[in-house]
Amino acid sequence: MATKESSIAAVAPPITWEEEEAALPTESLSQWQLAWRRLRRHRLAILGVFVLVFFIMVSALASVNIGSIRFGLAPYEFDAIDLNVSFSGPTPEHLFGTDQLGRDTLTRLLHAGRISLSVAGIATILSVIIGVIIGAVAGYVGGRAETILMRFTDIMLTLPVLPLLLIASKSLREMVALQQLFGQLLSVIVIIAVITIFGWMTVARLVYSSVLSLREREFMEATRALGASGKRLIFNHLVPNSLAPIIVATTLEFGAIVVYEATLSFLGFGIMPPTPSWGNMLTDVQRFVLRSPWMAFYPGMCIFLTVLAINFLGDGLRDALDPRLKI
Amino acid sequence: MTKFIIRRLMLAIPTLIGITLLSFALQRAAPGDPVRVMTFAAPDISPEEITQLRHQLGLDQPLPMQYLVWLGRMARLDMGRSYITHRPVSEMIGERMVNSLTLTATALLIALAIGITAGVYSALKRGTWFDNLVRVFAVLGNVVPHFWLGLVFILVFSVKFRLFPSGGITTLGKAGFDLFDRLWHLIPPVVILATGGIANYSRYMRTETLEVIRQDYIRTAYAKGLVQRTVLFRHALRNALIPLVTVLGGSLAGLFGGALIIENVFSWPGMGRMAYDAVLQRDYPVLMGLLVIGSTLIIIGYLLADIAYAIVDPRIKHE
Repeated sequence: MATKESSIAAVAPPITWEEEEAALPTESLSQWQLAWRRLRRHRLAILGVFVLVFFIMVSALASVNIGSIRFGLAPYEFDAIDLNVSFSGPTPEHLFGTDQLGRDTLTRLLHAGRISLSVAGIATILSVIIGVIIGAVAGYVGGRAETILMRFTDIMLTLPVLPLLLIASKSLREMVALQQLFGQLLSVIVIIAVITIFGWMTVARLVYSSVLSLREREFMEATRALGASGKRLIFNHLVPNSLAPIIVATTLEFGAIVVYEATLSFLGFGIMPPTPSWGNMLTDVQRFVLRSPWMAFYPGMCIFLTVLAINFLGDGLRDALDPRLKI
Repeated sequence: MTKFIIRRLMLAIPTLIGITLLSFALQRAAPGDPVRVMTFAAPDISPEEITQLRHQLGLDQPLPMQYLVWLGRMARLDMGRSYITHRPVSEMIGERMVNSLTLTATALLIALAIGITAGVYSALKRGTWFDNLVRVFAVLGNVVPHFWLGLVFILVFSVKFRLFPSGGITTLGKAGFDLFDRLWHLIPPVVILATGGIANYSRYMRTETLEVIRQDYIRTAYAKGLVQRTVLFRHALRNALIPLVTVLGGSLAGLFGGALIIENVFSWPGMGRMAYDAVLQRDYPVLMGLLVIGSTLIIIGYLLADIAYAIVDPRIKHE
């Protein structure tokens, strides 16, 4: 017994950044200001932000067409076919080369980025909203609703997701009524829908466990005593207090969805040509691998760099918001 | 514990019914007709023959009835026959499962061996070049889209340097079983599959080891005068491995289910590839069979992980 105590006393616990920061004289800063300050010091996260902003800007500006204002970074139309220059390597006219139909790769990359990033963005926001609602309600209400919702979440987590995604996206895309309703946009809407349906569970579980631990805290009791409604308790108190893990999970989710969309489009079950996406630009690569190996390079690099940047940002956010988080 | 297992298995039944019902409804809601696919090679088939074929397959019955008929057969473990090959679905799945298992089991074993070693070692050598290398690899291996990595692998090693075949399980036209040829075809998909696993396991083991070696009982073990090796293997590693068991639950499920994406990139005739083809060809019996088998394996995988978790860590009790 004595040896154990003395050994604990002998080794001083390492100084964590929390203590370090507490020891420094600081002006009073809000939780968010402190987080921002920590994030700024995270060099990789800032690099990630720059890369992301770059990708978003260039693909948003691929071609702008508002009223009389017409300009764009993309040198060609995204579906402009020129069979005279098919499979061209990098040339002054086509900086990144062309594909089998002579379409300019740079142009298609910019337009594809637009589709891929907005699909991932929308699907992320939708699945986070669903996840937050289900997790928060299950955690707060408890009882029967909790059992049903979390059982459902568990079941969704053990599905063979990929085959189901293929079935769902193929069937939905072929429904005549939906085709008439959405026309060209159908494959984009279907992919957003199926990714959302199979993508909200992680956030739901996260919010659920966070709400469970917050539910019994004193400030909740105080709020309840003041007569706040259940809706107010959930969305004004519980959700904001579990915001840190939600934000981190959202960034990581976005990265995962970018890869998901690319994979599905690559397999021919996502965004359908002629609309370009980073994934479907890789679909034909295997057929033309001998003629133009560089066709595989650029779209893959775009996906890779985007997801890498998001992960850096996610790591930075986790450290900045709450270093104890384990996601 | 027995009660826990039974309850979990009971829960599997509504899950399976839900999955199959949902995918059945989705498949049938789409226009198109498997009879069209089946008779694609025979354009001069008469409308009477088509009607008869539909009747034979039971496709002329109302949809709920069709589902119940399928469910009834499934309960007697009869998965029906493929619309395309006309062979029993169970037989086809059996063949494909062996191929998938060869691929996924090899990749899993390699990933575990390298991942655990690298993770533990990098935690012990924290801050060295090796640690940094492992961490960079863990990030990159997790982030890179695996299908693209496969494409690049084919581009570099199969097309450019001609070191490996670009796909398939054997060289075409080769008769008999040739172990060397098999292994040679196995390497590319295994490398890609293992990359993700190594990245995951090494990151996991690194975090866990760092956590464990800070614990009091490790300090006690050193204080007792044990040599480092004993402390590491007897005390640290055993505890650091516990959380990995839960992660393995998911890997176990993927073991039999195959790897849909990688199998497609490398034209590997496994269950994932089979599911992909079945979706495209509207081979409903095959697809439904695959979904049942796949979901069952996932459920069993997670169940085994939970049981194993309770065995390696006696503090955990399943109610």
